[in-house]
Order: sequence, then C-alpha cells, then structure tokens
Amino acid sequence: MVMGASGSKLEKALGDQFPEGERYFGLENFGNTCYCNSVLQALYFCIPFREQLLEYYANNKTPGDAEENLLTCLADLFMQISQAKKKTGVIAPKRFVQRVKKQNELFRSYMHQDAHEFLNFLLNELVDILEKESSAAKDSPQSSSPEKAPNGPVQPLANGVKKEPPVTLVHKSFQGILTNETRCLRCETVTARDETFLDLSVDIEQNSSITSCLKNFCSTETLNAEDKFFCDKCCSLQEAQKRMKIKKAPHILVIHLKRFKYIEQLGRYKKLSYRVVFPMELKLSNSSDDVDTEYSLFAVVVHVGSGPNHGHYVSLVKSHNHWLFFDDENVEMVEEQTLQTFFGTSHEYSGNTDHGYILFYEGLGGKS
Amino acid sequence: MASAAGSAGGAGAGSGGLKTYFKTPEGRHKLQYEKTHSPAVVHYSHSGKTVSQMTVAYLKEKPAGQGSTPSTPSAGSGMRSAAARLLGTGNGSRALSFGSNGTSRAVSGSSRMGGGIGVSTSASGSQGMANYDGKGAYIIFNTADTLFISDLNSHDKDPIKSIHFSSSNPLCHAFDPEAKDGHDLLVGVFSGDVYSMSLRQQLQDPGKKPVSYQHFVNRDKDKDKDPSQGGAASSRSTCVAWVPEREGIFVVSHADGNLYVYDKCKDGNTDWTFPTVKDQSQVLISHAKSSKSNPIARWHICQGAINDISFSPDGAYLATVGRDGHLRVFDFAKEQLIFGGKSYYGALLCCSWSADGKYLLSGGEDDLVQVWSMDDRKIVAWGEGHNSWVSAVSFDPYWSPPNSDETEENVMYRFGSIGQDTQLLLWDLALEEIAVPLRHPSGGSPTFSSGSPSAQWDNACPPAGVLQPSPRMRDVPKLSPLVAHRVHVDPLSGLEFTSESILTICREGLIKIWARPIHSESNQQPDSSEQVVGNATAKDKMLTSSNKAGASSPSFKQPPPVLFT
Repeated sequence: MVMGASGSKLEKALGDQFPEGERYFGLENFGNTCYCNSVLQALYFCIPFREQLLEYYANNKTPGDAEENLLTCLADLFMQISQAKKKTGVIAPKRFVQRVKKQNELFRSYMHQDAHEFLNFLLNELVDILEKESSAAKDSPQSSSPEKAPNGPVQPLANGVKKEPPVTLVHKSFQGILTNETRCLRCETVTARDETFLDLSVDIEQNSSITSCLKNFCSTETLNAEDKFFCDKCCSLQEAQKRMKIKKAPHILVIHLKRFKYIEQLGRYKKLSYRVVFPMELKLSNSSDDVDTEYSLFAVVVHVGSGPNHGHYVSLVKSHNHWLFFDDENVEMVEEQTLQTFFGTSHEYSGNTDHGYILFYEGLGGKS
Repeated sequence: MASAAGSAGGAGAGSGGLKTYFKTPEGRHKLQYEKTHSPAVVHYSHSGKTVSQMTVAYLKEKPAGQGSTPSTPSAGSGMRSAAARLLGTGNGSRALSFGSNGTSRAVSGSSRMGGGIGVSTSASGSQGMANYDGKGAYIIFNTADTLFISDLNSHDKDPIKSIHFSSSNPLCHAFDPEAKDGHDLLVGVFSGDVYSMSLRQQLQDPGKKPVSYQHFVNRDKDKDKDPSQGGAASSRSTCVAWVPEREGIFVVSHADGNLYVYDKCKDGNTDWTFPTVKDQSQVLISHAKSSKSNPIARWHICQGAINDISFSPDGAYLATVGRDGHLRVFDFAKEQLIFGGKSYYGALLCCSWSADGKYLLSGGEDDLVQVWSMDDRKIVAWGEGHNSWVSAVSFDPYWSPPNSDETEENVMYRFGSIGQDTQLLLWDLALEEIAVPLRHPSGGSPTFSSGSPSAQWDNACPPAGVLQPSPRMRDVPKLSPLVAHRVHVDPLSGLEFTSESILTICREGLIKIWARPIHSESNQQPDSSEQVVGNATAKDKMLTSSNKAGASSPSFKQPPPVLFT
C-alpha cells in the first residue's frame, strides 16, 4: 500500500465530511488494465453488492482447503480496500488481474479491452462460481448443473416445469426480467417469452437522452413483408408487432451505451461520440407492477479516446453525496456538474473524447 | 423579402440537412435570418464552458426631458436605425419570458484561459455610431466571457455590440422595459455577482466594457466553504429577473439553492450576512438586519441548484424549479409557498407562465413538459415528445385560437418547448378536454379504469403550501405536440415568442429567427392553388411528426419532395 500525495489532498478536501468507515483507494494500472480498474471501482461502490459479497466471503471462507477463484480474488480485493488502515491510498490488484488473465484468454494480452465485456465476464463468472458452491452445499445428487447464461432465455423443461436457477447475490443485485411480446396482427394472439438480464445494452442517437434510448429499447417493431412472423394459431406467416417490456426491474440497473458500432465500409468498429444526456434520477415502468421503480445514479464508467482499441477508462462514483473521480491510481473529488462533460458531443470531430459508457443506477427502496 | 429568401437559402445549404421552415395550422414559419457572435470568438474554443442564453429587449422612445447626455457625441442616424422597424410593445412585451436557463455547464474561473479573447473588432466598429435614442428591438445573448447585443430587425448576422466581462463569465440576463431611471438590464455572472446597467448607454458607447454599471457583490459565497456544496461553482448565478410591478426590485437565483432579493437603488457593495442554512432541503426566508444591506432578503429554496425562476405577469407569484425536481410557486409579497410538485424524475430545468397567469409550464430531465394549474394547484398534463432534456418552455402570447370569436368558454393556449434534442415543439392546450377527467375522479374515466385512484386525486384541490409527490405515469393526461421540428445542430437553450417571429438559440450561441406566417388577404390570393397543396402537405407532415415523436425520434434529414418557393 502506497500513500499517494493525491490521497492526502482528497482527505483535506473532504475534511470532517469524510464518511465514517469509508475508504477511497486508487487502483494501480499494470498496462492497459484501466478497463478492469474502472469497473472494479463502480462495483465496489455498489454498496448492496459489496456488502453481500463480503458477507458471503466471510461466511463461506474456509482457510486451508479454499480453492482460489475469481470470487475469492474479488472479495480479497474488496476486503483489502474496506479494511485498510488509511482512508486513502493506492492498492495493486495484482492477484485479481492475474486471475482474470488466467481464466479468460481474451484478457491475456496487453491490448486495450472493452469494459463492458469485462463487466459481463466478471458477473457471469461470479454467477457460475456461486451456483456451483450453492449446488455443492445442497449435496445434490446431480453431478453437474446445466450451464445457463443469465442473459439467455429461461428454457422450460420437457415436462413444462421451469427449473429456476438458484438466486445468487449477483442476481439479487443485478438481475431483471424482460418480456419479449409478439402479437399476431391477424388473430391478436400475444406470445410472451421471458428473458433475464444483468445489464441493458441500448442503442444511442445523437442529441438524445437515456430516457429516449430506453424508450426505443422497448419500442414496438412491426414484422411484415419479408420478415413475417409464423403464428402458431393461424398456422401461417402473418404480420405481427414485437416489443420488449421490463417485467421485473433490477435493484441495480446497469445501462450499457452502445458507443462502438461496426462500420461495414471501414471493416472495423467506430466510436459514436453522440451526446446522450443521463439524469441523476431515473424511473422504469414495470409491466408486472403497478408502481414505477425509482433509481439514483451512483457510478459512471467513462471511455476516453476516439476508438475502441485506443484510449482509457475512468470512473465517477457517488459516495455519501460526494462525487469522486477514479483515474487508476488517482482519486479526487469532483462536482456533480462535472458529469455533464461526459454526456458526449454534438460535433463529430470535437476535441472532447470523454464519453459516458456504462451507467450504474441503484434502486431506491420505496416505489413511488 | 427576396433578400431574406436568399439569405435563408444560404443558411439552409450551410446547415447540413436542417430544413429552413416548418408548418403549423396557421401556415409556414420560415427561417428569416440568423444571429451569432462575431467570427473572432469562434476561434477561441470555449465549447462546454457556458450555455448561451437569450433575452429580447424592446427599447421605448426616450422621453424628451429625461436621460443623460450620451458620453460620445452622436454621429447622427445611420442606416442601422433607419432599418429598424417600429414595433408596438403594449402588454405583449411584459408577457415575454426572460432568460430561460438550461443547466449551466460553467467551470471554475481559475481554470479558464487568462486574458479572454483579447481584442476583437466589433462589427460596428468601422462604421459611424448609430443613434440609439429611438425605439428598437434587440436580442441580448451570452457566449463565453462576452455579452452580445444584436438588432432583432436587422439582417446582419453579427452583433452590433459586444460587452466583455473580464472577471467572470456572464450566464444569465434580464431586461425590464418598464424601468424608469435607466438601469434596465441585469447580468448575472459565474461568481454569483450581478450587474445592472442601461441598455441604451451600452449601445451608445463604442467601447468593449460595460459603462455606467452598478455591481452587486454576492458575499454569501464565502460562507459556503462546505465541500459537499461543490465550492465556487455552487454560488454561480442561474437566473435573474426583475419583479413586475415593483420598480427597482430584482431577484437572482443561484446553484446553491439560494435566491436573493436586491434593490437596484441601494449600494451593491455592502457588508451583509444571513444565517447558515442548516437543512438544505427546507425553505428558509431571511431578511437583512440592516436597512443599508443589499440584498434585502435571502430565500433558501431547495437543495441543489435553482435552475430557473419566473414571475407571474402581475408580479404576485414567483415560480422556481430546481435540481431536486420540484416546481415551487410562492406568493412573493406574502413570502409563502402556494403549492408545488415534482417532476416524474430528475431535475426541472425551466418554467414559465401563461399571459393570464392561470397556468405554468415546466420542463426538465425526464424529457417531459409539465402543465400546472394555479386554480387546481397541481399538475394537469404532461407533454411527451422530446427525446432529450427540455431546456425552455414558453406560452405564445401572440397566438389566438382559430375560432376564438365563437365562444369564450373554449379556452385554448399555444405554447412551445425546446430541448437538448435540438427540437422545437409546438403544443396546443385545450383545457376543457384535459381538465374534465380530473374533476370527476369517481366517474368512469379511462384514466382511472385500472386500479383505484391515488390519494392525491381524491382531493379536488390540494391544500395550500404543500409539495405534491411525483405522480405515476398513467395518472397524468398526456399531450402530443402539434409540430416537432429540428431547428439546430446543437442542443437548444432558449426560446422566445415575438409578435412577428419565434426565436431559438442553441447552447453554442447561434440564434435563428423564424418568421410567423403572413395572414393578409392580398398575399394569400396569388398563392391560392399552392395554399391548398400546402395545407394537405402540412396535414400529412403533422401526422407524421406526431406519430414519430411518440414512437421514435423524427428524422428531418430527407429533403421534402416538393419545394415551395
């Protein structure tokens, strides 16, 4: 642990407003690991997730025969931060990064990586580990539970009974349910299929807002002409309307802005620097609930740079009503107003290349 | 008109896909001309530092027996003032909303480039000084560290006056056409201070700095050392407004949730202090202890920034909207909260009154326009149509319903909104159609067909002084826009209605003036056949716009198949 100069400056800036029991630590960069550091900071300040992870780790850790995995490395890192003696400083997440590279060859190179891919990989890996440990704890006669991707469809079994995967602490925090509805325009039959998600990936448009991007995500799409829908009731291809509805809103809503778009002519990905504003508060309508879920923004992972393979990631995190800026080792306090500089730009070729990429919203307890 | 058409054509070609007109049931609104800051400012990259705001100011004829002698001898009337057309002000100018604010993106002054933009040649510098003793209509707008003044009726794109604020960037401004002793223009700056000055004197002076101004120093910012308040930026001015019917009194709102009441006749550099606000989310009104103090009162209104303020046309009520998402309406004289309500979610960014003082509009970060009723003391409708945050809302005081002669009971309003989606939306508000379901909640209205009505709708009228919680999406009637038109490349920040045009300004400081359709019979006669085609196209276009506004963001990049000349 290294006490940096920026750390003491942060303590001075906060003064007696420094939250009790909180720690603000930068993470060392081992060569293009900022995609990892920025996501880790956002997850660390997802308080329900952090608390559940540390509690699970404390309850289930058996010294000696414990096998090291991504969950233990993440929990160790979180423990290192939360139990540090100093309030500020820098920590080297060496074990965690090594474990990531060992488990996924995609992250083995020293190339720049996509933060959203890393977040998806990490959450799904944690789910796998927790489900294995859960089934092992049950001493189930099944030797191996079937592999199930959390973002995939919930497949009904042959006898029509759904086999619900165990609810892990990851699901408690991040999982929501989408309903894909298809309505045949001839017989008006609605076919619904549920799908779980840990985050929402939304397309973006220039000079829009997260509100309108989410609206477009749930907007109605017509299937006609060459793209007709085969209706089981009509036993033929018919025109239909398809749409997505949020059946169950997650406790932590993670929104991924699709800023990297494949351009056929160029044969590579291009970054969309579109200006997409995001508010500090948000609401989602549940189709199964009568009330709307209210959310508060607590973290933003920002991509810095002009393309997917060049650049840098930083994160902004809200902690006890302060906003903090984490740039690998450096931690400093910023004003809420600063978040507006990461909305994007209205001009395609402006100098500003800092754009909000992954938004983290926490559900407020009561529903309005 | 031919030259205007040519200019519009040129502007259209340069705008890259933006159309230079839009249609309403009244006819075509054409882009007449554009105003922007002088070209020298463009080279100085100030993007993202401040948001440009716009104020329309009508100067009246100077009374013969009053007024100071101009500091510089007048060169006689030039071409510019000869080109100025006479505009009647009457009640219309008082109904105009002043300086609507989007969210300011000002950064700390210490990080700003020192010295500003240096010496830039004013557009009017090389010409003889025009005589500004007469009437005129002007547009005041701010970009970076400069306040610009343009002639509303001139076709010149460049401003006729630049005022450089070296110590702190101008953020908001307001003009009082009824001011009696000369100081009619207020400018709020980033540091939280305010300047008052005479618009006429600024126009007469050939220099680049404000002349004969009064400086009102905000000393309260020294108290806000609390880091949770964000330091210097939290004391910045967000909105300035003269109080109607109260000569010389103005109010300034700030990003720390405070609003100060000043008297322009008092010294602006006095020592003053107000008690510390212990609970940032509660309203606290404090009066100055000393009679010499200026400001004379401080109202702490909300936690976080006050984003916009607006007085009712008679000056009796003050509306504020803030970072906490609440609209609050106060009785200004009694200093009491009349009512308030919350957005669906997110901050509210703008607010304004109808000319009769019966309704309020607000807009904010939920992409909605809210319509509030003073009689009912609550929300009556939500306008859905913007694809980003709403920056400004305004009723159109010059619009009257088509069949207003038939019956007075059928009350209709026209209002407009602009947003960060670069769109101008126009809305028709027919209160009879909206209000009926809310007045009979026990009836079989489809609004309440699902589930029991909420507790808040059980009361026909909420009690005074209460902030209403955020309603549910399904509980509030929805409005759809009449027109949705993408008017700028950059996000918009201001909207003004004048008797002859609609003015829009984007955050970067480009102003567009959209001429209202002409109604005279003689002009309609030669275009009768085209008028029929125009109406049909307008109808289809409106339907398309309305549908697209609801389903997805409209795209106006495709040129129309038929071009009207």
